[in-house]
Amino acid sequence: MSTREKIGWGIGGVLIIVYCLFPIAWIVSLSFKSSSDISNGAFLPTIATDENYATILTGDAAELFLPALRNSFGICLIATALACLLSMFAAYAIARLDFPGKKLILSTALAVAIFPVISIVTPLFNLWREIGLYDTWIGLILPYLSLTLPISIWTLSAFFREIPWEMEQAAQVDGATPWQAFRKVIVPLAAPGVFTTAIIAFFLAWNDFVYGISLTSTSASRPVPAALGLFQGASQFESPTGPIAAAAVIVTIPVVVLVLIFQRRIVAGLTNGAVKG
Amino acid sequence: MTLLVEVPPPAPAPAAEVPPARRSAGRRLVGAAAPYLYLAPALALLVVWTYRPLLQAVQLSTLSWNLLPTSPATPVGAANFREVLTAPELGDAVGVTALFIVGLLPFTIVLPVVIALSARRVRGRARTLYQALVFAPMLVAPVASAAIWQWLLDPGSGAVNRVLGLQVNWLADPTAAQVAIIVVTGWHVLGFATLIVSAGLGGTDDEYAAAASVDGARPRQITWRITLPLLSPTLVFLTLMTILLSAQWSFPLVDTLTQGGPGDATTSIYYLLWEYGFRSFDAGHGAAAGLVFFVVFLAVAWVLVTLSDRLSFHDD
Repeated sequence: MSTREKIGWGIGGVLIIVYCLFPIAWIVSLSFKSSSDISNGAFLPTIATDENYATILTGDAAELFLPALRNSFGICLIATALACLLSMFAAYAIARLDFPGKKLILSTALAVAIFPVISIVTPLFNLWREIGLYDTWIGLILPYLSLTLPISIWTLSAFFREIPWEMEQAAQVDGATPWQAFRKVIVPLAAPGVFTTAIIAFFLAWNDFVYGISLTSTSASRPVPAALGLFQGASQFESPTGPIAAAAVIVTIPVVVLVLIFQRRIVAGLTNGAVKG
Repeated sequence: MTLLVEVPPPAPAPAAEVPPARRSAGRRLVGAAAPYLYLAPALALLVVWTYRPLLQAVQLSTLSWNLLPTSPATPVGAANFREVLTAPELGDAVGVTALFIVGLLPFTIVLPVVIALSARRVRGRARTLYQALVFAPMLVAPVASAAIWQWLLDPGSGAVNRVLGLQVNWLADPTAAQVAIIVVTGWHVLGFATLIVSAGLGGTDDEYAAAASVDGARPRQITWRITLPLLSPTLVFLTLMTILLSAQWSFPLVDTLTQGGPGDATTSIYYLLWEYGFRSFDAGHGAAAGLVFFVVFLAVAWVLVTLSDRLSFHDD
């Protein structure tokens, strides 16, 4: 590769990184700006302040934000745990057992993944009101399960197919009890797959917007993306930008931390599932 | 998105699964039922909470009802479908959706391929870092990213106008608003698409490129004649996702940045449907539109999957 080409690639790479990171850097900076500072258009705050974080954590907006944060964490963690548990059973059957109708059942289940959410959200809204699930945690956990289960089953069965299950028997031949064989051999082999699945599921649920705004109405169950949407709707003309920025930073942190910890595993998971199929 | 990729056949069951000669009928029954029992909880959930609302949508679509439990629901037969299919805003929304799809393709195909190919030239930790940085926007919740961009696009003090030296009122001018929604949505999905392309590149066999290189092929020829054809299943998969999901990806941004406006300039099919259901509270209308959307969606998905089998180049 010639020097000129190298420079070209380098500049391109830098431009792309700027495009990707500039908005993120901007919002972090906004979140530390005081209200008088926000519209001055400067990148760095004149004086860094924590007043925006104070507003959403202890101040006026705390009533809207804190319950939403609690709801989001609770709902997404429960949905993720259930999705992992259920998809472990399903993926085990798909990867290890052979049975008639497998393909049909699988496609029916996985077809859900390309369902336009918007087509079922109105009937779901109506159904939830009839059976009393509207604006409850369960009312969001159930749709989040249908959002996360197809991709969880898919990712996890890709992992489970790679596990050398014979080792379980080998361990038993060597004198391990079935439980020991399962716990000492199979669990460590399956763990990365389960982690990947958990992160992808959490990510999907955490970033949901349509269900969040359609199936909730109060702080009893309203998740963060919906609450953040309210922050904004109310502020069409006089934006509480600082608090929104602070909230956006706080909302993004859990996902960033999760991904940084498990980045390699997520990539591996998507590779197994998506492309090598 | 999972439907679109062929599920490979299962590994053959281990030899130990072969049943012993004498087993009671009951046991055999349990043995045959076991796979279904494993699948039952997940399947039951999916069927009940996805397919059942869909059936309810069929029922709702024949009613005229404002969703209020106290007001009566009048059966109107197929009138809702007629109205939906002849509504003037439908054509516009289809146009906007098509524009979003075309506008997003560079962000889901061209840029990710360029980024993934250029990342291959970087080694070691720098490469991981590069990918992680590109991946970062995907982690920002869509609504949060809408909040950032609202300020970046501000006509007065926004950074975009200042950096580019423009005086554009991004969210108030129809064309500018469309461009803004596409660029912001593109910013959001770029990392995901790059991840898929990188994974696809990782899955291709390096030996072909090495062989071509030995035969005297130039790097450019290798990229165009070998790497990209080998990558074609991935690219087809991404095209398919872009076509099917563009409106869905842009929805949170449209809802928070422009509310479908100015005028109807950013009202995609997806946003229009949501408006039917939750702005005008016309349940029948919304359900009918949802069903039409669903059927068209399935048809498009089916055609694309069929086509993708032909368009993809397989190395086996």
